[in-house]
Amino acid sequence: MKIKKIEIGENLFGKNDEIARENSELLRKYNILSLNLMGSPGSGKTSILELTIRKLKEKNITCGVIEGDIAGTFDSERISLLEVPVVQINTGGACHLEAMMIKKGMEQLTLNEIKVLFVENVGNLVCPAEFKLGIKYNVTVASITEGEEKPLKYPLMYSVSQLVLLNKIDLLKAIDFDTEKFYQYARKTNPDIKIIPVSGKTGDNINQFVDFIEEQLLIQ
Amino acid sequence: MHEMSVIENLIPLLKRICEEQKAYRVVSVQLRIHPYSCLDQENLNFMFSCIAENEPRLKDTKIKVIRSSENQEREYIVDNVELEIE
Repeated sequence: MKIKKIEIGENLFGKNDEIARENSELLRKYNILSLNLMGSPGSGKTSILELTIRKLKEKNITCGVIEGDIAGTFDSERISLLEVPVVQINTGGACHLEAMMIKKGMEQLTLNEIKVLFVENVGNLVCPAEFKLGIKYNVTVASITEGEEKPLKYPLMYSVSQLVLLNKIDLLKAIDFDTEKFYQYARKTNPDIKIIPVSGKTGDNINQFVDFIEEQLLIQ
Repeated sequence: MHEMSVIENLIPLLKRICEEQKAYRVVSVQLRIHPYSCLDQENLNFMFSCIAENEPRLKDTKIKVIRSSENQEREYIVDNVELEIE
């Protein structure tokens, strides 16, 4: 028996990353701003999307949504009530979206009619951060009910995100949450991360998220 | 978790290398992952052994996982493989 060692140096997810690059180029071609919302199940991603899309529609900024869930159409049904194009991706078991799923989702959208594409990733603080999708901005939706230490416990999620929406601030009086520590921990993990405290229930500060989106639309 | 995604990509890659090198089997593969990866070695080994059970060239393959802070791009790099060639 002879053993031969071979150096490989290949990226195991090279195919995913190549498709992510293709996705990114397609979005650039259509001049679409794209955001990938990630966060725990129940952190409030869909609620924030609902309020944000309503405000963007008032400003005649057209939106499209790719909803990712393991199963079910609950979230896409909610979004479809806003009368914006929405595609539901059911992963059937995978706890995250991958680039091919985004590619297939975009094939079902009329891209030349969309200015902003939202991807709502599968509810999970771990795996979605691992997979490049070709989406320009990673947005972590954190909820104050999760505790202020989450940026330290889930550093990858926070290190790959440009923006955190700290949700459920309407509950601050009822929950022991140290906002200052959360900011400190988030910036320790990612010094450049922008944080907007919001409420997906009352709508507080959603306009700041909308402002962020409008600013990015202007500069792209 | 994403051990499944790793295995789905690893198996075709190992089979391809086996074909190219005309190897009998893959003895081991070294996978280098970034420090924040939540890949679990034990889960990976178990799932790989189940899925590769019917792959004669892969069923006894040992997977070595190395965490490296040099890996800044969130990539999962197949560093090297050891092949039994005769």
